Amino acid sequence: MKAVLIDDMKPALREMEYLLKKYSEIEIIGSFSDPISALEQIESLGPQVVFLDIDMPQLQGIDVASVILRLDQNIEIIFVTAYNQYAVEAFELNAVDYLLKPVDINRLDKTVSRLLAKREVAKEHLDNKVRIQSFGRFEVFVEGKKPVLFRTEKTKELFAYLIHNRHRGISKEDIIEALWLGMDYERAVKQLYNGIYYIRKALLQYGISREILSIENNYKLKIELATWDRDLFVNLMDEGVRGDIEALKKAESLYRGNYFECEKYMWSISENDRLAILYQKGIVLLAKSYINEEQQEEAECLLLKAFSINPCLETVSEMLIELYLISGNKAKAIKHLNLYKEKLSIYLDIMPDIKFEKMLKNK
Amino acid sequence: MLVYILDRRCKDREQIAKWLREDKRINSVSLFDDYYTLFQKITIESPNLCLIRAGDPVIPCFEAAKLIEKNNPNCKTIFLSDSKEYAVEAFEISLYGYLLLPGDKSKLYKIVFGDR
Repeated sequence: MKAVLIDDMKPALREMEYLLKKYSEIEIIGSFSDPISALEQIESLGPQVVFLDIDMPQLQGIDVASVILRLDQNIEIIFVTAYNQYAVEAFELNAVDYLLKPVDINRLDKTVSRLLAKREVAKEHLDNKVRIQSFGRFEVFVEGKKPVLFRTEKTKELFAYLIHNRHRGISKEDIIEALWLGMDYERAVKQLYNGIYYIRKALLQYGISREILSIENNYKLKIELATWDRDLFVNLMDEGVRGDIEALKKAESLYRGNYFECEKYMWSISENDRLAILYQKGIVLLAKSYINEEQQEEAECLLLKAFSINPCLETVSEMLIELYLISGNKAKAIKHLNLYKEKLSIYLDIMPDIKFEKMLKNK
Repeated sequence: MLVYILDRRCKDREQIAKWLREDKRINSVSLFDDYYTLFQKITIESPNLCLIRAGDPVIPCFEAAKLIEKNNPNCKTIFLSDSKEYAVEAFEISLYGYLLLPGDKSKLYKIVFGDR
């Protein structure tokens, strides 16, 4: 990425140049101590990102940024300043980041990652023509646009069922039993054929041709150029439980809720249970990894997420309470235990194991 | 667009909700005054946009924002505050926007719908 630096203090400019040298992805194409000269040359230089001081006698950085964005709204702005009072204005200008001087290298790492991630997201949208989400709410996205709209809830369920069984062929009878149990057979077959027709029609309307996604003989769904969060999740979890922490993190981020949580399809229950157990296993490993790395906040966030998805998982509450007690926050530990008791009472009509009270008494 | 607002100050919350509901790009606005309830709702139905009050001692705004981001990285989170105090840290956790209150409809719309 081509970068321009603007700061009226030359030592600050030299320092930024030195810090940015570490990133092979960033190429500095101009350094200016005079913002007015910088503005005169910005168009010809064509940077993708500008690192900009705020408090400059010739022209304030906020005003410089406004001018730059009028010239080219695609230029990313990163403010680098000793003052914290302009951050709101920085938000209003859609700045990528706001760094306080002296710039901390770890903080700058985050900024550069953010810049590069923005580029990756744009690229990803081109690569992933179809994205199928089945954790939380079932949705199908085409090129990052709004979710595909199906004619009826039953059509949507049929498509979900085909996706759920995409790794094996399923018979007409399997589908009818799952989706139209108890209905007259002839009528159910008609409903099935109509459902397939409306699915193909909906996909075609969104530009998904038969090369990308098709329903073959024996109702096996063929998907090319599409990602399905469940498959990605399972593959990443496999790698994660073998010790790949980065894979665990990616897998965890895919789990936005239980499998078909909003739709609660009866035929998805056993797979949901299996995936939930896998998720819990991954959460425990990942949380332990965060705790070992002394990243208590990350561990807490993760465990709270797991708790909100399934508040009855004992291991999760146990780890959370232990985390709070180790960090000296007994009040939070008690608050969480009370919440856990409430949830167990509502969902399972039971009390927590006695060990929880012992944990609190011992601290 | 599905919007959730977490703010105990009813007057501000109602005003923001009213402005948002005036635009047809907003499908629904749900109001919360408690962080746990918001988070439970998010795991069932994730919003496209979440506005969180910053500066209320009962609302752990940064924790809430981080949890939302972990649960659904596509959800945009905006802080609502009558102080600039939280803006620098808001950048650190990559928030989508920051609305200084009392604010006005045009500023809100610029943050929510503005060109990004």
